[in-house]
Amino acid sequence: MARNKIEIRHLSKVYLRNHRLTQALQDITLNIREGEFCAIIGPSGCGKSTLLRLIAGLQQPSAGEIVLQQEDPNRPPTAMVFQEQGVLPWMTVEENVAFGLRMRHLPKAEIVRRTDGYLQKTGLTAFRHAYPKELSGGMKQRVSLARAFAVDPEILLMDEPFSALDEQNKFLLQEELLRIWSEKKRTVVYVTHSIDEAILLGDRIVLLSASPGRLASIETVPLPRPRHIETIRTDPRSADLFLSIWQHLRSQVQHAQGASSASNA
Amino acid sequence: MLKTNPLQPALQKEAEAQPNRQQERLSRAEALRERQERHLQLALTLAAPLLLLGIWEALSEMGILDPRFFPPPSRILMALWQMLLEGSLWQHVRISLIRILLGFLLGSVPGILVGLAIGLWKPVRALLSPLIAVLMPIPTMALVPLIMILFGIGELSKWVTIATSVFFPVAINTAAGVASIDAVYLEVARNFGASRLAFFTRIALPGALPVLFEGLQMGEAIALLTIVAAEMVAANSGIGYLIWSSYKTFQIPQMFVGLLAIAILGYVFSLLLRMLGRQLTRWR
Repeated sequence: MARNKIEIRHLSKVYLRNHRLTQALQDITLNIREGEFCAIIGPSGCGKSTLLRLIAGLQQPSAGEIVLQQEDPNRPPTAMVFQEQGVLPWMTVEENVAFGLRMRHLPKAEIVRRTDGYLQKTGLTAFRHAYPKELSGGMKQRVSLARAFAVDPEILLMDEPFSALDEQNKFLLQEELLRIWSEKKRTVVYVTHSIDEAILLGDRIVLLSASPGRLASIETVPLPRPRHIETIRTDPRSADLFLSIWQHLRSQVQHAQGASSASNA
Repeated sequence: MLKTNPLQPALQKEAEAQPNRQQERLSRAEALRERQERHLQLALTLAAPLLLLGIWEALSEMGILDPRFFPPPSRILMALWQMLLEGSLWQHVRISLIRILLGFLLGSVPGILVGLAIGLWKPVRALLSPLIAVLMPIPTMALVPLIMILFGIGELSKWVTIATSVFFPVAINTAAGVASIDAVYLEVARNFGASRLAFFTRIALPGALPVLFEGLQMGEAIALLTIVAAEMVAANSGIGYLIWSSYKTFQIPQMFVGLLAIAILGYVFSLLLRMLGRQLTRWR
């Protein structure tokens, strides 16, 4: 069994919003293994994006700790694929993909080599001099993927990267993601609100409960890799898993709605 | 941006081979109508000032407008020609131009830097924004005596006067531009390990550029205003001085030449600034 890459211990996060404390995450303890594709799912407002930002170091925990096992000091510990708007609009596709590499002051030849490679892998070579405004949503997320993969991080963090795409584009990008990921299996933490997506991509699925976000359960996806949408859809095991996750989520969402309509009344 | 498909011409030819005359005739008629519309608009644009000048000329010649105060445009043109030959016009224009350009640079560069700092760092904002809010409403012309005490009566004090008037709108708009940058871009920069300098030059500056350029446009307009006023009260050269001294010595055609010069100068300056802005924010 692979060793732990991310150790999260008794993590809590509290926000002060309009002079009121809001508990985003409460006492989360979770280990994510080296090379694991870990999907995190939960109703909206359960703090799953916050969890990702805490792992990325963009925010600090209120209590508890997150330990990342960094192996190679020359590689960045994490790189994030942001939700739809993460591509920098004033840089061309090429400059966006090279951004992380430039920030790490890699040798020029290496920057060119890696940028070209990931432009190729994501099918963006023809668009390298285009600005993001000229691209479709799917293309923009390809840029975002290429930028994160190019810096070769030890852990890839993805914050609902395909949630704003139409379904067909989403399927294409999910398969592309799996293809690129399978070349060099990195640890991935993937936040999503789509059960199908979590089953297709994840080795394990972490379920969070709604406000405050608590660890509800962890499901192991019993499906072999490489995975394709067609085979996953027809596999009875994935249908069983879908139902059990949905039952959990449904009660959570209904509970959250009940709570919010009660507080609004 | 995209390479065209080499098959494209062949495919197109095949499509055109099918008789489609009517389509072609329609599109030609459409193109013709569009061109006519453009020509009409151009004619109207040119007609307005020409008509105005014609009426002015006629009224002034007939004595309905007092030709001492409103000399006919033909006389103004003659004065312009004479001043060009003497070289006096160019001298005034050149000195104003240098003052505006230097003053503009002297005001906008610190304005951009201070604006970026205010937009990026809360302590700087707390330190500087009340100060700026209090100083900004003072009309720069009210500061001219103080500026002359500090910087003398030479060229330096003119540059400082322009710079002061340009600084505030540029600084405030730059800060607003930084504030308008989507927070996710700041997270992207942090996540990919941007240094302080890279954050400044690759995120804050380009992100603020659209709003920043609005500040530069405002600064340009105010610079023009300030230079003419300053040259009227505290100079013996420049376009403002030309206008004021021509008025005082009752050389009214020369005064109008001065007005024409400042109009053209302002127009060209703002045009260049707009072009530069569009070039730098092509990504929008």
